[in-house]
Amino acid sequence: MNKRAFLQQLRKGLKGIPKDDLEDILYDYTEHIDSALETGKSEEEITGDLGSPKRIAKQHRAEFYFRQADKKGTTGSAFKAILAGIGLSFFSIVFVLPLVISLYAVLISIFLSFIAVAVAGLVVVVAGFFLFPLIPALAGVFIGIGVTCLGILLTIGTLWLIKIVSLGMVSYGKANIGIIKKSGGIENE
Amino acid sequence: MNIQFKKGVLELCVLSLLYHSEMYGYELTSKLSEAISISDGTIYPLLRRLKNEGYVTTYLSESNEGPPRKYYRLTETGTDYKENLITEWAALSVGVNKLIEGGLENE
Repeated sequence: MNKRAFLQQLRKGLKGIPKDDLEDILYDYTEHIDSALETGKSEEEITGDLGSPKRIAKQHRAEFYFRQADKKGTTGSAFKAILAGIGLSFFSIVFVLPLVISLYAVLISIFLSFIAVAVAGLVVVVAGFFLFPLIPALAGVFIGIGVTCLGILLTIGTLWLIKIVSLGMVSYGKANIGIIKKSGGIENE
Repeated sequence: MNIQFKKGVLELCVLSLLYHSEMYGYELTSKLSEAISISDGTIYPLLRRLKNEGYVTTYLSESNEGPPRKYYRLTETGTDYKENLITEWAALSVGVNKLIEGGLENE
């Protein structure tokens, strides 16, 4: 691959990265290739040593999204980071992705059931009035308020849990970015 | 040893090289390639991360030919971080060597 083709493929692979970062990254590789050319190496040799531009682009993208996720700490950014990370390995897609999806599915169902608890509390408050002859209305109201508060607290707790899990995902994904090439023997997984 | 370890090895190599002298990208990758088998291209994502984390800074310097070169310089935080990595690396290699030589069998 010559210099032009390499840089073109790299640029293509870096889609989605802001222009400033993208130009900066491309500059690094241009400088690298030009410096290597001065030592008398051929363009083919140099790009061969650099490795696949697709793989390089993936690493830059992963790195970029992890930084974003680190800054934001939201589920959306965690997902983006994970997606960028799993782009790097088959293992992650087959084994980790289903786990991640089921984990979030469980978290979301817990979240929804706690909201249901809060709503049920409200229903009890209202029902307390209708059941007036049977139980003291105030008791119904207090029980209802109690259940509602409990539901709200648990919901908030679940949100925190989701956030913590998301941050955990980000660090897992980070550890997953391959750095050393396959023939180096220290490849991830 | 923590999961950051694999990343840490290459990181340690880069930081150690920069500790001895400031270098531009190609110089750094050539030195690394002499010692360990890596794809040159993977050094740059690492360098960007090190820069973002404040372990290195960069500055441009004119070269005789071609575009100005981006030099990498280790910061104080970077030096501290390098020392920590060296300690971890030393502890690990002692442990691994013991296991390889069967030194723990007698316990």
